[in-house]
Amino acid sequence: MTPILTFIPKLSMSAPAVPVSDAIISPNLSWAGLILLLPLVSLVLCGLCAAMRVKSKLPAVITAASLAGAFVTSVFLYLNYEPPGEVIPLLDWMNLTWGEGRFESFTANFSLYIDSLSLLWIMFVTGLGTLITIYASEYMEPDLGKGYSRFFAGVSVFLFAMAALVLSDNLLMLYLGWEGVGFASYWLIGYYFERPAAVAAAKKAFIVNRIGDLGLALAIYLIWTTFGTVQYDELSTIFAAGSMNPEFEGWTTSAIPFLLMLAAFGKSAQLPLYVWLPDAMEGPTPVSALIHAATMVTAGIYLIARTYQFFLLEPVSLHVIAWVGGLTALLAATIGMAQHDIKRIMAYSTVSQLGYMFLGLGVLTTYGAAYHVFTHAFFKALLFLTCGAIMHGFAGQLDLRKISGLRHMKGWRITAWTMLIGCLALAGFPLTSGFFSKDAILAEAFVTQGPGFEILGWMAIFTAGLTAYYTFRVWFRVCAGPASFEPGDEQHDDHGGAFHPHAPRFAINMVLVLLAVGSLVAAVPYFMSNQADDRLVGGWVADMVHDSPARGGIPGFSETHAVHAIADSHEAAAHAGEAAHPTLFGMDPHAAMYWISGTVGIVGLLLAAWLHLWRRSAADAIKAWLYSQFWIAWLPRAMERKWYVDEFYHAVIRAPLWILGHIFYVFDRFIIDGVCVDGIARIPRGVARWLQPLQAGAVQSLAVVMAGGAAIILLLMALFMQFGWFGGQV
Amino acid sequence: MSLLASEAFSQASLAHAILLSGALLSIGIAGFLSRRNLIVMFLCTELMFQAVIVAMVAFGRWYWDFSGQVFVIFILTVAAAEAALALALVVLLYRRRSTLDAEVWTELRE
Amino acid sequence: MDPILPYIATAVGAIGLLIVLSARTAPVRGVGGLIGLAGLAWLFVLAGSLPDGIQDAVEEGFFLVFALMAVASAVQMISQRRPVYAALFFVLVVLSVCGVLVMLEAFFMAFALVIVYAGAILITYMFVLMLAQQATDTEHIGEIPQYDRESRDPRAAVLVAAMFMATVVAAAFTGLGDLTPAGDAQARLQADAALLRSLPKQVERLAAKSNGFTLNTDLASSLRVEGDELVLAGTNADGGAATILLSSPGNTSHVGWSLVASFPASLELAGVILLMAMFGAVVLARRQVEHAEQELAEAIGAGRGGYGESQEVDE
Repeated sequence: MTPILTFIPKLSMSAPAVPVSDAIISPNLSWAGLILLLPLVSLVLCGLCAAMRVKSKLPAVITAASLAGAFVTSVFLYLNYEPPGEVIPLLDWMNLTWGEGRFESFTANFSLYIDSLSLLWIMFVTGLGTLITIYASEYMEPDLGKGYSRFFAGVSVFLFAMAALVLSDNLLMLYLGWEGVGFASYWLIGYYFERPAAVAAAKKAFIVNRIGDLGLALAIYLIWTTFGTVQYDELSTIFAAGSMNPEFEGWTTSAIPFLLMLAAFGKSAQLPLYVWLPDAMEGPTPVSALIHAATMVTAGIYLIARTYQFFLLEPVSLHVIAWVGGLTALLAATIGMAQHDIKRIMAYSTVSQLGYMFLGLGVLTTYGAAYHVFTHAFFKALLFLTCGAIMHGFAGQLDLRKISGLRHMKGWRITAWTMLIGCLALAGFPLTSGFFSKDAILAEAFVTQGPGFEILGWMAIFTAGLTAYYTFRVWFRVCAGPASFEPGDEQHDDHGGAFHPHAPRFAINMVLVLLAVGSLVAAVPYFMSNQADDRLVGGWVADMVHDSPARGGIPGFSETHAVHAIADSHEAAAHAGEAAHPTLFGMDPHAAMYWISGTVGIVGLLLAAWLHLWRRSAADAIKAWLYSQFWIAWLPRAMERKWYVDEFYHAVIRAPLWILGHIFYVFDRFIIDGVCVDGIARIPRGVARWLQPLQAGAVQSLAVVMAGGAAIILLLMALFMQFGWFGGQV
Repeated sequence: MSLLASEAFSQASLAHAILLSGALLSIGIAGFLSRRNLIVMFLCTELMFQAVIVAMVAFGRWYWDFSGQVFVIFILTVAAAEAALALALVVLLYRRRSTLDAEVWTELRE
Repeated sequence: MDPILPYIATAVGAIGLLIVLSARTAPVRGVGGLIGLAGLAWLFVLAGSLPDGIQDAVEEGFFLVFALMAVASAVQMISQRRPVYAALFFVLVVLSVCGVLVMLEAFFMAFALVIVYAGAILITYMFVLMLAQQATDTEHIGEIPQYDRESRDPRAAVLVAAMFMATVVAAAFTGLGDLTPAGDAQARLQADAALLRSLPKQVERLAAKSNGFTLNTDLASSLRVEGDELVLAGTNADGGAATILLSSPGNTSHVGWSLVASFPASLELAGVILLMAMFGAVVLARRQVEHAEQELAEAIGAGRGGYGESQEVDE
């Protein structure tokens, strides 16, 4: 019996210390609706710009201004926020009642649910959205007058949907936003719709996400049938009272977390549904940074954090999440090591880091997951944007073997150094934001008891080393070393004859610097003191998770505070069943993890430096040696070929469906169309062709009709009489 | 009384006569609808008259009622009148188009 | 009896007729005719198995011969390419039908038919044929026109004909059982007696043939049926009661009496119809005569102009 199991009755039986269900209904805060409204206004204006063929940067200005407005509104909302949470009704959507009973009504309104978790998310979503829009205003310059308005309209749609997803007060509105971000993602991945690869990637993302969306839809349905509501505050009340529908208590409460998990895995690109995210890099780089690194892909983590209570009811689901997250992190890191496309490496690192976040959720540290989401949003957006700047400047060149020594080139210094900051954070270099957030997850893997969680922890540490290696492989290859480059194949006309890389200008540089600062400053909240409950660890982010259903996953939070000493704040209620706090090398896991992960990160960094900065020839030699040894050659080959996952899916899922589709096509073409539809259609045509001569007006044709009619009537009468049809009466 | 030995007129005999009548009628109809020569078409109507005559007489024989044969006389009358008028019309039509083809006359078409 | 069989036989006959009508060569047409006749013969055989049992062989044999001859001639008639032959085969049909009428004891009608149809009406047809079937020039003498060579959609025609035949078959095979029984010998004698009572002069003439026989004043009571004989009671020359046997008044008397006694108005109407037909024929013929010469000249001069034009429009 795991400790989690002993924890669950406490959650459901004892009254919560902070009654979340007492969310205040605050109509006077309805100005918060601006967060949703402004992107919509921006969408309409961008659409107008597209219709009027605006050739200036007006759409970017509009979008940036409205997103900035949304960000400012979010900050004001945060400043006005009072625990434990507020419901801000905007407008009625669905309000159905067909009886007196608890399960005979359905309410899903356009209302905002403001608690600390949604505030955390909406602030970094809108903030990063603003910054990336500013970046994109310069990045998308080549498309001015062509797809420029379309791009920013897509960004506006995305921000609206994401805000709806994060701020919704019920699962149905969340579903609306969930589909909305999926649609915006499809829109923007397929932005370069002239490129077949982009179209294929957009379709792939959309289709793979549908699998997850199915899970979410089923989960919402089961939640409604089991709990009688889809509104967060009522759900919390029901959890507190433990008054689920007894009719379903047996299996739905077990099924719901797995369905929600499926949805989260689809949206956040985890095994087995991660395959769409690397391909999604076909979209413009700002989109990759905003949607496929910083915000949308974290929607899965948000969903699980938001519905964490369901997972606490079914501990196995948390184990699954932890293992899936850890395996995804390792797998994506190994693939990332063997790629040459820097944007694709970043994509795999995103998958890998998302795996860390799920690992955090699985080992009962929603705080760690949320914190990693928060820091990751900054440094991964930063890394993508630097990649985008390089791609922009070198005409689409993304191969790390073909660019070198960027930091020595004129105008590229800011890019190179901000990229270094991003790489340090991603690699978990000590004292960067990524270091602290990753540690918060890694340590909990050793603290929380679960099936093989210790192995999982070591695996995650190993992955952290790989992360450091492949991150700095990029940096040392691209930014360090002797300066040289080969341009890509997307040269614009204004280059004339010789190619000159055009260095990023003010807008891009400003955004890069701001994000680099953000990546560094994101470490600060870890050291802030807790406002909501000073017994918690984790500073500001823990505060932000505290007033939400996810607070069960904050180390230090306890339903029964008296049991555990405040001094040992790591002894959380979640670990109440432990006989003794586990140790790592004789130390507390959290303290030990600082040393371990720091060391691993530096080792990976040094390895990358040796192979890709000091002895680049050694790297090639090692690679050649690896490929020459048959007993090991499969490993790098498989890593380079992404472990053949796409091929596997192609063979196992696509090919049978393709065959099935062709069978259906043939059936439809020849049976449904040929026999049923066309065949029936041919009957009147054939009859008409046969009867056609009768209408020619020839005397005998008319005689045939007349005599034939008379004969039919007579024959029918005779048959009626002979066979006694209709009683023989005519 | 009867020319032949048989006194009774059996149901089978009646059926035979009716079948003969039907066969002649059907052949007449088939000819009327398929032959394109106007004169042959009218000959076919005469054939149908023959069929009716057979049926009339057969039923009259069955009931021993001579009205059937009386009606044959009327049929003869009508046939004669029809022959006179119809043949006159046929000749008239032939003079119009110099052909006896019934297909030529398609004025009934809209 | 299986009620389906007669329909199958009908269909077989129809198929034979179809072959006869659509075939181009004589042997095929012969085969079609055989098939058609086989279908019809099958029908007759089926009819022979009706509850009344086996009929008198001779009468039935004659009947069958005449019937088959009539049908065969009819088929020949509608399948002949030359209208003159069609008319001649029609004469054969009429003659066969007359034979059938004799079998049906309609002697007067049989001979009237020969006279009126084969003699009068058919001659009219022949005249018209000769009038109409004139070749437009010497090259086309003896050539069968296209509209005589090719049937017009025999499928539809045969289908309609087969449906009519099926109706008649249905009536012949199922409807006849409901009919009241045929008049037996006794009923015929009664009918003969009734006719003779209506014709006192004729009875007197018959009585006068017997010497010394005097009729009773009350003819109705003196003419009576005894057994299967028609007896006329009266007194003989010596004043004693005497009877003489009367023969049947015959078919012609029956028909004649029936015509004038039962349908006098119809008889008058038939006369009027004949008169009007004569008027009509005269009127039409007069107009024809007036325009004939001119139109004939035009037709020959323009080379069947009107016909050619209309054909183009049709196509």
